[in-house]
Amino acid sequence: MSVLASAIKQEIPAFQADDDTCPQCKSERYLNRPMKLLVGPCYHKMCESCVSQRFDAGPAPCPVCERILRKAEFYQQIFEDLTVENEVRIRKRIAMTFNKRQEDFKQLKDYNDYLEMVEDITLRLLYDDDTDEAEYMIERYRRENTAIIERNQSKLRRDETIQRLAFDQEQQRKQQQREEHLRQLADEEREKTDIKNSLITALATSNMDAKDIVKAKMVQLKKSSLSTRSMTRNARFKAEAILADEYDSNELDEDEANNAPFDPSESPYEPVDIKLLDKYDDPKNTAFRQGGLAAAGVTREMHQRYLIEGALAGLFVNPLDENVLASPEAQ
Amino acid sequence: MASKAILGEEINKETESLYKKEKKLGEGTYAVVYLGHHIKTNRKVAIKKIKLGNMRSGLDMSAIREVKALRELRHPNVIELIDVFSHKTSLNLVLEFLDTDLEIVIKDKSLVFMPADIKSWMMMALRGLDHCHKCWLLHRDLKPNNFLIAANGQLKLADFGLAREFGDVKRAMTSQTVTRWYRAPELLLGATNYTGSIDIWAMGCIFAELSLRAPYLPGASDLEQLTTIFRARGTPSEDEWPGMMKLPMGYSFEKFPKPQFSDLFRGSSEEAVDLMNKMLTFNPTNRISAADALKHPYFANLPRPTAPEKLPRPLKSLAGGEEGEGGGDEVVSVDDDVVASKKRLFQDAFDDGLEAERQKMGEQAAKRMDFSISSPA
Amino acid sequence: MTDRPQLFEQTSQYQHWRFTRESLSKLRTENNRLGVDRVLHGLRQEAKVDDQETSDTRIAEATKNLLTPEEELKLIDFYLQRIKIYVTIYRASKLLKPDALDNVKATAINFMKRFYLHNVVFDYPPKNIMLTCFYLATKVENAFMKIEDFIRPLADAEAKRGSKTQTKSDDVLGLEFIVIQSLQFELAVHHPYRAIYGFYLDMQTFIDEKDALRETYDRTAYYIDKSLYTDLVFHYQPSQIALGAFKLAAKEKDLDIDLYLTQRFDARSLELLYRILDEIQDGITTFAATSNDEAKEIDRKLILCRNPEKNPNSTLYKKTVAVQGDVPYVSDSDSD
Repeated sequence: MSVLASAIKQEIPAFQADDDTCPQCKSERYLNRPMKLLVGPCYHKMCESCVSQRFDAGPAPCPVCERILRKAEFYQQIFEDLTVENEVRIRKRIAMTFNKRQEDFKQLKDYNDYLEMVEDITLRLLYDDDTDEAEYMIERYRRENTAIIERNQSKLRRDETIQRLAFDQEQQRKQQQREEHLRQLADEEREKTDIKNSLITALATSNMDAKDIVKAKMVQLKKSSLSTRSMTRNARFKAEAILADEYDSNELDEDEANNAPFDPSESPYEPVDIKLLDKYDDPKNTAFRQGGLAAAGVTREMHQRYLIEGALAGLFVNPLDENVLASPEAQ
Repeated sequence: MASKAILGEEINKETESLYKKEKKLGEGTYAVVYLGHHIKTNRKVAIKKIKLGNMRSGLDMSAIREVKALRELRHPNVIELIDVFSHKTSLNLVLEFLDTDLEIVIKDKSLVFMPADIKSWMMMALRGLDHCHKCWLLHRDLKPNNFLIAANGQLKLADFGLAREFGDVKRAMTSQTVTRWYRAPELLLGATNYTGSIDIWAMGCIFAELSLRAPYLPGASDLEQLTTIFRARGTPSEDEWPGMMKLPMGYSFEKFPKPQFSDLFRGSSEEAVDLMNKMLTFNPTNRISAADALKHPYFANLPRPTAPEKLPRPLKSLAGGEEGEGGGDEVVSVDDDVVASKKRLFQDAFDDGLEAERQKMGEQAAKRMDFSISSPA
Repeated sequence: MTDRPQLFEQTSQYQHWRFTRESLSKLRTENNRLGVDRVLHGLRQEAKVDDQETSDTRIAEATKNLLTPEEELKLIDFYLQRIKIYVTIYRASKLLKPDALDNVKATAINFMKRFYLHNVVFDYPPKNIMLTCFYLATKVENAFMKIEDFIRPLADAEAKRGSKTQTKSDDVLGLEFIVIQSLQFELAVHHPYRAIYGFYLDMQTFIDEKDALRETYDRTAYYIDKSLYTDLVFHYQPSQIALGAFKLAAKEKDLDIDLYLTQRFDARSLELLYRILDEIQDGITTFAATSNDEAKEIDRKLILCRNPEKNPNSTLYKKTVAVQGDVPYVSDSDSD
């Protein structure tokens, strides 16, 4: 998960400094506590109300650099240092496209090479070094890897879903635990009162030694609170197991099926990979002189492919049994 | 190794002894189909016994073509010819046993097709066809009932009685091939040499039929077939199909406008209609190939094709729904039970006419296993 | 490289009809030995239904004249050569189109060569097998003609020669099942013709002498024809045989096709290919057809050592096999 996404998910508060000032209206945080300072894509800041004023009517130039901006492009600053902010955003953008995982590579070395390439592009963008080239590389990579990018994006979405779900479950579990704990406390309290009451009654009505009666009741008290505790724990485990099961068999399965590698052209055979060399001179063939063949889809290209495939099929196949070939006199 | 049979006759006898015939599944003019099994492995097989009683010139061309083609093809979406043996003067093809066919599935109106189901069938069909074309083999009789369906849902191209090689432009071929409704326009115009694009046209018709649940271009006669096509697809201009008039039967046809295809195929995605149009392109040179069709976005994009085992399948199968160990009668009664129970379930949804039609379809399916054809070309 | 097979590797020719020289000769020797045993067994059987004394002399005579595997091969070869003559007969009578000739001829020859890997001449003499293979080849190669049309030119030729025997359609069709089962029902055969045309086109990009190339290509037909009678088809790929024939023709026409080979293919694969091509060229040039006299001599011996169980004219056949009513091409009513 990208830094930014997790930052937002974990609700890290936006960066605020006491000396923040809106460069437009000069409003100061010191005087205006709830002021929200936003950052545009050009990394120039403005407070929320200035952004509204300037961009509500549509795209307008940034007052500092005059780049045309839209309201939707402004976001809350998270990091104090804007260069860090910038880096995080560039990395986020790069990660959207270059999202291959180690499992996409046969060898670790290939994966490392890939990571190095990605870092190279990232650094170019970060240090404004030959950004055109970097943009070109990104675009070319995107075009060449559309399928895998999409697949990994949905994998990422799936991972995030799982994390979110795990997080929610954890929260839920904690909440339940809390409630359970409170309930147990209340139960124990009630039990204590009950026992106390019955103790009083027993003491009042029994002929037994008061000491023995108290001892017996105390044992009873311990037992009952222990049993409630273990019972609730069992129930909780069960609930979690059911939750996990349900989650596995539904969403994940379908997602998995939609993301599994899939090639509509799959075949048990090696594809025939023969490039026709040039236009062949085919003087012996009179068939194409009349126009009828082409109209029926019979083209020279098709005919020549048929012939060349015939010429190259099995051309380098060894005859059976090397020994016989190597020493013909052996037979 | 010394005990291994050398003589043709001995090998043939050995092959025959591997299989046991059980019961007749169907009979056509050309062949009888039996249910059988491989004795050692108990694998269920269909034994297609080709009759040669009336063949004055010995083995007839469709038997030769079928054996010749199937002996060379090994692909998950092409029916497997497991063995061949002769018995006295009959030729016996031991084929993998397949329960049903695509025509039965299309006609079974109790089945609902999802777009992903159609995509799955089309993908399997095109994979099988692409393999044939890569081997330079034309099927020449594609239609829904020549796509058989295995118990695990795999679709398999069958009936190679009209199959022949292509690629050699000097050899004339007959234009009297392919069942009329699926016959490509260049065949109807009398082309005597053609390519895999005639099979693609038929696939396009089947694609449309899967969406419409009815034949797309049902011409009433060979003569009317072209008119039916032009009415449905618009009469092609000379630009659209250069050289069309140079074909043996090319002449000026009545001009029909091109209709809006998406109106008819409202249930289909834009990509599906686009691929269908590419398969039903008039000019065979521009018609998409099986290999390229599989690369079309229709297949790559969601929804993914349904897994074969999850595809809708009819209640009735060729050999009876249950494992029929005993005699034929017993199997039939099991079948009736299944039908009856289903009938109880949907008492009102079925009327007797529909039921009768379903029964008939079962019989037809049995005959289909014999892949009988009208006449050898 | 990868574990997926190439398309050509699924063909029956590649899978089931390739042999080493050793395995091929072993198969033929074993086949001949078992065939000889059957001849002797058949003759002894015949002795039981026939006059004892004549049988004894027949057995003695047959034992003296039994054919060796080499003699079998020579006789088969002689009839393979006859296929070439028949092709011209059908061509002249326009029953075979010129474009179908090569393939019908090559397939017929191949069928016959394959047939005798699973049969011996003692059981089935090559003369009739040749015709059945030929007729089957016309069907397989999409050049179907009715059996009457197939027989007519043969009958005409026989009449012209004043031959006593006359070929009937049953002589051809009666063996069709015997032939097709010995071919293991594998009918698709790949020949060097398609490949050689492909090479002719492919070479044009590398070889500038267009006329010489064309002349060479025309000459390859002669060498390919020769290759069909050899065992090369059991050892090498059709594309390899085609290229071998091309090299022979090129040598004759003084054309350098190495110019093509070295530019088109990498050196390491060529090393293997050159070795293969040398062997193919040897195989083609050293081939010698069986002479008429040789064939006549072997044919004479064969008359004495035929297996009576398979000979429709033998006493044994007439008294036993024929009685069982095994008449071909009667609709079998039982549907077992």
